[in-house]
Amino acid sequence: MKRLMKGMFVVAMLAVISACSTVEYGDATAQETVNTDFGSTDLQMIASKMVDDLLVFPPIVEVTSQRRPVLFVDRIKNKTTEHIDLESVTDTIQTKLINSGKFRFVDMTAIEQVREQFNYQQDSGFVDENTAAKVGRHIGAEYMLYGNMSSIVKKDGDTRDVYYKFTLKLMHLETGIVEWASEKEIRKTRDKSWFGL
Amino acid sequence: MKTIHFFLLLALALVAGCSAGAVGTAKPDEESGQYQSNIEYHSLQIRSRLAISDVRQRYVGDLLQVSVDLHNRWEAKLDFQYQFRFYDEDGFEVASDSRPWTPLVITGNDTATVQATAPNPSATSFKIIARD
Repeated sequence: MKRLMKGMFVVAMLAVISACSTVEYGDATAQETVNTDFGSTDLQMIASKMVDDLLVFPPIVEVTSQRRPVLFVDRIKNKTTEHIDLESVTDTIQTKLINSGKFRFVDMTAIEQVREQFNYQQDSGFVDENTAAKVGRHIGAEYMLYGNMSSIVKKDGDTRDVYYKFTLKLMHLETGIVEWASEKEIRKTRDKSWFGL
Repeated sequence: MKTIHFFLLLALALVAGCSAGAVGTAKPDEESGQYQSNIEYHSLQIRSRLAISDVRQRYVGDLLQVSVDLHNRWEAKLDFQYQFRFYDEDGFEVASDSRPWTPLVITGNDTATVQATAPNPSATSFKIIARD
């Protein structure tokens, strides 16, 4: 009888454990507050703010009303203590700017693949030379997007406060003038409480 | 017995009515009646506490820029999320899922201004969605 009871208890526990493990798809744009580390909501808020600010800055509006300037994205310096994939932030910004129809980009991260393709088209003998892409016709970027991200972290007992500051700048390459800059500040605080106290 | 059934049905109808009212376009009130098409509440609590007190729109170049004043009608602070959505002239959402749910805290009886720029020139109208 005792053994039967034990067996039933184990089965019941297994049922409880298996019931607790579920996988669900969620909204990728939903607010994410798992912890105070840099997260998807921070990334999306930064990208939206930067793009909104750039698209309505009067001197930039004047330029983009006449032509679609060519930009390139330099890397964003990570001055925080966290490992953050900041290329993902600039990718989102770049995607939004391209889709706005106001800017064009040259992608320096794909330059090796481009070189390989040029070599294949020009030197392999497999490609009809009439259709092969001509070398030396890339358009030079007019502006460079660059910036940095810093953070201040403070802890006191069970409270952890994180302040992020993302700065993005747009430099005119020929003159070296910083034509535009914007910042996004984010503060996140975590209070660890026990049983709601 | 029949009376009990009647009350049960009435209670169920009321509960169903409340649930349906939680999602959808807000009814006009004395403050924000003219902005009913610009806001959608995904929570009864937010619906009762949050109102649009002013909406400003302009074109910057050919991009729609909007600025919305959100007013907390209660004494206590209001902690919620909002999301801007833009639509073209045919009512199709422009660049769906391109904007995040953004957290916002408004202190009691205070007003906060939130702004957004359309993702591209095809956007002609917008909506702000608020939820817990």
